[in-house]
Amino acid sequence: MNSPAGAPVRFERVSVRYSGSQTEAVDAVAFDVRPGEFVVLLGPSGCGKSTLLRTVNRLVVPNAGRVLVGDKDTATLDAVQLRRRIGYVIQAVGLFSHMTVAQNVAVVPSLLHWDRARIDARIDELLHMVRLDPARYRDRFPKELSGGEQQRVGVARALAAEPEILLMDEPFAAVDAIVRHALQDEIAEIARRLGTTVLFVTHDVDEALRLAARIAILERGRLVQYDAPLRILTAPAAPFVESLLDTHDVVRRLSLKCARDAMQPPRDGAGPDVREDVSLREILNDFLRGAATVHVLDGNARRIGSLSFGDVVAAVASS
Amino acid sequence: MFAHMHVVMMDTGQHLALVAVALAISIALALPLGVLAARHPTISAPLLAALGVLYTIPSLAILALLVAYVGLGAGPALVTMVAYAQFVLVRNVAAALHGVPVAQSDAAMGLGMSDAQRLMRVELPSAFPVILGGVRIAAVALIAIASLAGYVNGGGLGTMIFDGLQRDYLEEILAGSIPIALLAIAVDTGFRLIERRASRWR
Ligand SMILES: Nc1ncnc2c1ncn2[C@@H]1O[C@H](COP(=O)(O)OP(=O)(O)OP(=O)(O)O)[C@@H](O)[C@H]1O
Ligand SMILES: [Mg+2]
Repeated sequence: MNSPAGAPVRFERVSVRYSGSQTEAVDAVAFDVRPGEFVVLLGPSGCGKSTLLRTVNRLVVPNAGRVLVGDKDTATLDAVQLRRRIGYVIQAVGLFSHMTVAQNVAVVPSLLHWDRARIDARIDELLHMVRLDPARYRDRFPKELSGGEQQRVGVARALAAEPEILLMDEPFAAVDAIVRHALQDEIAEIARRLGTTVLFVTHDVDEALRLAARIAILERGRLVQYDAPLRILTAPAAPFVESLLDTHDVVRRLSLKCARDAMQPPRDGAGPDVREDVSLREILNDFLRGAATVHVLDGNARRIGSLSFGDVVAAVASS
Repeated sequence: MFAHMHVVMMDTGQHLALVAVALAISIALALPLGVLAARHPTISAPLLAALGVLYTIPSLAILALLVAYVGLGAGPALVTMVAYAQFVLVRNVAAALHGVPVAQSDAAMGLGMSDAQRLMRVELPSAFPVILGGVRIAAVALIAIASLAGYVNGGGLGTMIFDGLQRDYLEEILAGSIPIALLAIAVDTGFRLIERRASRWR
């Protein structure tokens, strides 16, 4: 399949104040998302994550500032047309209960007047992509699906018309940890393969660390740090970020686990060596100094495994 | 009584026709009004209040008033029936639309449906089984109210009932009222079957 390149997104001092409210739900937020980048919006309940996300597809209109999609000010674009280029997955899933799985997935392609054969082929392709057997699932109604299966259909529906941008609002909050991890891996892989730009909302620090190329941390409508996961962990820019990591116990979990717990089979490639009993927290320093891979040695200085930053995050997040 | 079988059949046909026409007009009016009420809370309250007043006035009183102005016939009966059904149907359509999960409306917008597409492809189909329930209740009520047509020369099974009452002729009253009861039961059952089929996905 020819992969459409994701579009860049730019927030230019975006503010939102809901009518009747005294405070801004989003307050002069500015940052850039590169084409194809996976960015996670992270913060506690009510900090404005959903609101900010919904400015991208103009479900929320900023009171000040601009949102640019593919270098165009969204205020100048037709909202309905814009939304058809942007996949949207909401926390409550929102599958149309009177439509089958296939009909749900086909919504945007049929709005775009694709022909029947193309839509049918696309439905099967998407269901395969989210690991649902089309033969078994095509004609089911949403009520005949588990929570995790519904989430998958929601993702397939959002990806149907090959969107340039995918907006995901706590898409995996309603499923158990095992299914969530599987879905996280799948969405990361899909987004990478398709080159889609992803904006992903969560209040789960582990989920953010696992998925993000960069994390935008919001506190009461303000952007307090926008950085790669490693930088967030090692150089929190504000007390708020530290406390966010604290409440999720991330640093302690990094200290409790050692290289042996997180390592994968030995890989080639340059990188520093560490002893197997060194804590993951200490190893972060190696990544900070620019290492892509760290090699793990046993007591006899034999190489028994290798580690990337992703392996470290996966090891602490799986606890 | 069997000698009059064809009269009974003809009156039953007329009765059904009255109900069908009144129901069709009622639905055609109530759908847009119900959508309006569901979308605009400010319109909803006064609209339902006005329809509520119509609903509370006894049908016979409305009918008498109409006859005084436009004369006898099926027309005033139909107007009375439609006026009565509006309250039931509009309230029902509005409630059914309110019952559509917010997440589905939100997803419909987010996926790029226009307002009309959201209504036609998501909200109305999703609300359909509930709306159908309201239509069933209205239809059964209209079968009863259609009897009034017989009082004003509008045809239907009411003709025999009112004639029988006037002549104190029990058999004629029964010949009118038993088919009405059977009609009501049949229509109710029929609608329930359709409702069940339409709710497969619920
Ligand atoms: N439609 C609305 N009308 C008025 N206020 C709103 C509306 N939606 C959100 N808010 C308020 O704006 C603020 C930000 O809400 P938002 O939904 O963006 O937060 P969030 O970070 O997504 O929270 P959560 O993690 O609970 O979903 C909150 O104070 C919320 O109460
Ligand atoms: Mg939210």
